[in-house]
This record gives sequence, C-alpha cells and structure tokens, in this order.
Amino acid sequence: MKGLEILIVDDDRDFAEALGEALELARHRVTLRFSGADGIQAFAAGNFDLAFFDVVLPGMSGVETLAAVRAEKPSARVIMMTGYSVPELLEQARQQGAIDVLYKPLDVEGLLVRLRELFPEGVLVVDDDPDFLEAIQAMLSSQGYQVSVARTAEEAIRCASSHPTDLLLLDVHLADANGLDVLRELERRGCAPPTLFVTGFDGVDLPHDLSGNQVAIVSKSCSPKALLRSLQGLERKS
Amino acid sequence: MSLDPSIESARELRTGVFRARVVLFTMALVAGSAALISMFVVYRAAVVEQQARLQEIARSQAELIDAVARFDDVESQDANPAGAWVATLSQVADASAHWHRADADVSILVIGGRPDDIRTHVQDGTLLAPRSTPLPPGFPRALAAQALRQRSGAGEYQTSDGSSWLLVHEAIPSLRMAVLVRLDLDVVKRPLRQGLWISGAATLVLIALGVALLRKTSVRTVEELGHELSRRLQVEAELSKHKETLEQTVEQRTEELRRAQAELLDAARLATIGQVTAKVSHELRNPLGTIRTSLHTLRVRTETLAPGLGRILDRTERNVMRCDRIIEELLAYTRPRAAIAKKVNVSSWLKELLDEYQAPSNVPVAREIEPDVELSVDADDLRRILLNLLNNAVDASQTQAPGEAVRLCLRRDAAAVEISVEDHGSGMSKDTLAKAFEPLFSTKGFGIGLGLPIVKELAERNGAGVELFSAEGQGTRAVVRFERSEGTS
Repeated sequence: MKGLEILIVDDDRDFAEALGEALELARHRVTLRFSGADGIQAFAAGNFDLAFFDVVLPGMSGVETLAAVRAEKPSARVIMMTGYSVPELLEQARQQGAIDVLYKPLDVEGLLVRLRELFPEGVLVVDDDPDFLEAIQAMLSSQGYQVSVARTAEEAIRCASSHPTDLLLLDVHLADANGLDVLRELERRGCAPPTLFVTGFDGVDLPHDLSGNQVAIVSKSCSPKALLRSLQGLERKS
Repeated sequence: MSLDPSIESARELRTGVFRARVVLFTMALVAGSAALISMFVVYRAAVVEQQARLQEIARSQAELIDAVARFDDVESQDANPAGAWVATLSQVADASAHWHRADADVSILVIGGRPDDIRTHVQDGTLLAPRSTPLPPGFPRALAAQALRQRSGAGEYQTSDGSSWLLVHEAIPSLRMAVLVRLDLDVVKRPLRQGLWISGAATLVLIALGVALLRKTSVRTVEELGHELSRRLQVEAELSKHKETLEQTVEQRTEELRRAQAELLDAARLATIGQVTAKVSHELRNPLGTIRTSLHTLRVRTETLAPGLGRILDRTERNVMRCDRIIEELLAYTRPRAAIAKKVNVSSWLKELLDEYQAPSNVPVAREIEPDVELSVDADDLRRILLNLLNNAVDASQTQAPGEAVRLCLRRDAAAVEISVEDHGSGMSKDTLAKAFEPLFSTKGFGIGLGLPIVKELAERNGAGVELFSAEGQGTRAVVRFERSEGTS
C-alpha cells in the first residue's frame, strides 16, 4: 500500500489536526477541512482514497456532506466519526454508503488496522526460523496485512520479483545468504520494496548503500508493537 | 342508601293492597251474610203471611162446613155419618173446588175419624167420602191428630222427598172433623231462592270485579315491585359484600397510579438527563478524542527518543479512557435499550470475565462457581452488572487489611440462579443502604453514583432482581437473582 490521500472534515480543528498527524505518521497524506461545504469542494478538487467526516457539523451535517460527496463520486470511500450516537443519523450514514462509523475517542491503532484491511498491503516476511515466521505471520495478519513468507534468499527474490510486494521484512542472517545481499539483488532488479531488517544481534548498523527512509532495522527481541511501528514508519515508495 | 324510599313505598303499597283485599273480602262476607239474614227475615215474613192466608182459608172453610152442617143438622156423633155429613161435605166440596181454583197453590183437606184411623174426606175440592182414603203419603200423622184435637193451629213439616210444607188446621166442632190447608213452601222459597241466587251471583261478580280491579291496578305492579325489591335487596347485599373488595381495589389502583406517575416523572427526568448527557458526551468526547489521538502520535514519535515517556503516556491515556467510561455509564443509564437475551453458559463465561478482570494486586478476587449453569441473558448487560459490583467490592476492600478477598459466587438451586459479589470492607449504614440504588448517590471520593442504579436497571430488564446485604463494619454482599423459568436451566 502506498500512502493514502486522506481528507478529514471536522469542525473541531484540534481533533482534525491530531488525527491528521497520526495518519501522516503512518505515511498517509492528509488534507484538513472544517466544514461540510469546504469538505465537498476539497473532495471534488482532489483525488482522495478515503475521507473522514464528523457526523455533527455546523450548517451542513456530516451525513449531508456524505450524501453530496457520494452523489458526485459514487465510489467515494468515507468513514464517519461521532462523539455520541444519534441512531437515526448513523442509520442514514450507513444508507448513504459510509463504509464505517467510528466513535470518539478513536483508537488509532485499531483505525490503522482497519485501513490496512480496506487497502490491503502485502508484506513478504523472509526468515529461516519457522517459529519466528509463524509468530510474525499471525501478528501481521491480525493487523490487517496480507502476509507471504519465504525461508531462503532464492525464494525471497523469486517471490518479491513476481508478486507485487509493498513491504519486506527481512532477516539479516539467512541460512543460505546475507539479507543485505537479497535487498541489493532486488534493487538491481528494480523491484525493491521499503524494507525492515530484523536481526538477532544488537548494534548492527546498516551499510551506507542501504540507508534511507525506505529502510530500517529492528532487533528480534523488540516488542511486537515496536516492530509494527517501525514497519508503519517506513517511507512508502511513491 | 338511596334505595330506601322506593323500598319503603313498595312495602307500603304491598301492605295497602293486602289490606284492600281483606276489606274487600270482609265486605263481601258481610254483604253476603246481610243478604242471607234479610232473605231469611223476608222468608219468615212470607211464611207468616202465608200462614195467615192459610188460616183465613182454613177458618172460612171450617166455618162454612160447620154452618152447612149445622144447617143440615148433622151431628158428629152420628152413627152413620156417611149419610148426612157426606151430603154436607159434598156441598162444601163444590164450594171449595171453586175456591180451590182461585188458590191453586194451596191444598185443602177435610179429615176426620179416629186418632188411629184418620181419613181424608175431601181433598182439593174432590169429595172422597164416603169411601174416605187414608192420609196422603208422607203426611204427618201427629199433626193430623193434633188438628182433630185442637181448635186451630199451624206447623211445618218435611216430606221424605225433601219438600217443605206449611200446614194450618181449623177444627169443625160440629162434625169432629178438621180442615187442613197446606202450602208447598217452595212457592215461598222459589222467588227468594232466585233472589238469593241473583244477589249471591251479583256479590260474587262484584268481588271478582274488585279483585280484578285490584290486580289490574296494583297487584301486578306490587308483585313486580316485590321482585324488584328482592332483587335490589340481593344487589344491595352483594354490593355491601363487595364493598371492601372495591375499596381495596381502589386503594391498590390509586397506589399503582401514584407509582406510575412517579415512574413517569422519573422517566421524564431521565429523558432530560439523557438529552443533556448526549450533548455533554459529544462535547467531551471530541476533546478526549483529540487527546487520545495526540497521545498516539506522541508515543510513536518519542518511542525511540525517550523511552521513559511511555509510562506517562500510558497514565494519560488510561485517564482519558476513564473519562470515556464515565460518559459511557451516563449514556448507558439514560439511554436504555432492550436486552438481547441469549443462552449463556454462565459458569465458563464468569471464569473468562474474572480472568480478564484486572483487580488491584492487594485485593484478590476469589471465586466459587458451580459448573455448567446456563442462563438466558444479555451478556453485555451481565458484564456491566458484574464489573460494577466487582469495582464496588474492590473499592470497599481498599480500606481494609490486605488479604481479605472479594468473593464471587455462582449458585444454582431449584428456584433460581444467584450470582453474588461479597466483600469484607466497611459495609454500609442503614441510611446508605436505603439510598444505595438512588441515582447520583455516592459515598466514594470519585464517581457519579450511577453504578448500582445501572446494575438495578440492567438486572431488571433481564428479569433479575438485585439485593444488597450489608452492615456497618461487616462488608457487603450483592446478590443478583435470576428466578428460574423455562428460559433458564
């Protein structure tokens, strides 16, 4: 998944900004608007993958904004947000084709999982330890990623070059090769995805040719959450 | 009470009609008696009158015969009476036959002879002598003998065929014979009997008319009134019988009404609170949302830079969620929804709940769970009920010496399934216990006082009851009791 173009419409500027920051941190591009009318205008002008509308907006309500946006572009994907439930409004929102209704205060982690479900992101995990593979596959799947696995360098190169791969989780020390060499080979073939190296050893630094925003390294002993955040923090290819 | 006048008048009317009947019958009786008496008097007068007439006839006949006999010089002691007095009698008979035709209703006999052989010489103008015949059959011999002995007299007698006769006799001294004049009293009685019949019939007709009139005018009404009266009396009896029941029912209904009104007021108050809560929750959740989302960003951006910040961020987020829970409680209390009951294995469900429940380490939660107890219940409601009760128990136990456990029990008996949460905390005073289920009543330093009201509300809508047992210094036991029905097992 490349970073998404996201429109946020909420009259509560602080909330809109906070949500925008959190989504930008997950490598999405965010546009903020603070009224329904401005939201509709921005949506028509831009090319958004996804929009967040607050249900309660002054003047034109979120549901009305949703209806207007969907009338203009029936494929528009909109998630509604609300501080409290007005059952009739929420029902209307669903009828107008909102793909979700979220309650404030939002659980950002949960939201990111939901986004990965909506916009599937393929992760290729390469490791020669079957237990690690199994554990990491389960964890990433639960976070909405579409996970494929490889145990050898050869398998990894074949898989990454034949299937679209958004992210690569690569063990530095494979049985048959060095993980760094696998990425170098993929770069040579022009199909290197943003990559997170995993190492069992502390204090490993990445060589110069492999440094940058699209590459990072974490320890195998780090928490699953930290690993996830590192994965999300990788700069996506444009 | 308003029935009395009509009942009284019905009674009076009834009595009046009864009296009228009595009077009517008495009058009829008196009239009948008077008629009979007057008839009798008239009859006697007629008899006396007839007697006088008969005496006149008898005397004139006797005088006539006597005179003729004297003229013929006939002696009664004649040895051969058949000679001279027969001739005399023959003359008399001629005269008397003529006379007899004038007074056809009377019968005239001339008799004579010895007392033991009395003979009829002339009968109704017919001369029977000299071969005189015995007295006509049924004729009283004693009277005939008396007539021959005495100068004159009168008497009545009855013959065997039932007819009554008036008889008058007059002696004919010269011939030692007697004239008997008799009259069938039926001649006197017949008109009187007819009169009696007519007057009796008239009386009867009058009585009948009177009775009919009485009936027509009032008897039917009275009988109807009588029926009505007894019906009313019955109704009155029933009414008084049900009076108490009625009063009780009215009291009960009034009480129900009062309660319904109170509930309505509560509901109205709750609806207002609900609107306020909805508004306030929106206003609060927006800034809470901002804080929580910002915390996420802060955490991600500082994770590698300042690991020590994690704990502070955790605390901040924890308290954001605490605010959110308060809002959630307010909404839950003021925005009731219908319970969605499903069959739940409460035993295993409770174990999972307790495993997830994060009690402070100084307050262990003991469990005593009967296996395989099933309930038909809204699991979300039951979760909130038990979390509220557990939180209360844990809070109450904080002040106590460590080690005293909170105990959660699941028990089942024939009548009910009981879930109880027991603590050994400070307990409640009577006043506190009485107010425990009141909304917004709280003894805690924090909290809005909706925990137990929510427990009660949710339990009731799941068909359960909640009871608190508590005494100051002796802890508290809260019991949620699901009465067993077909839905539970």
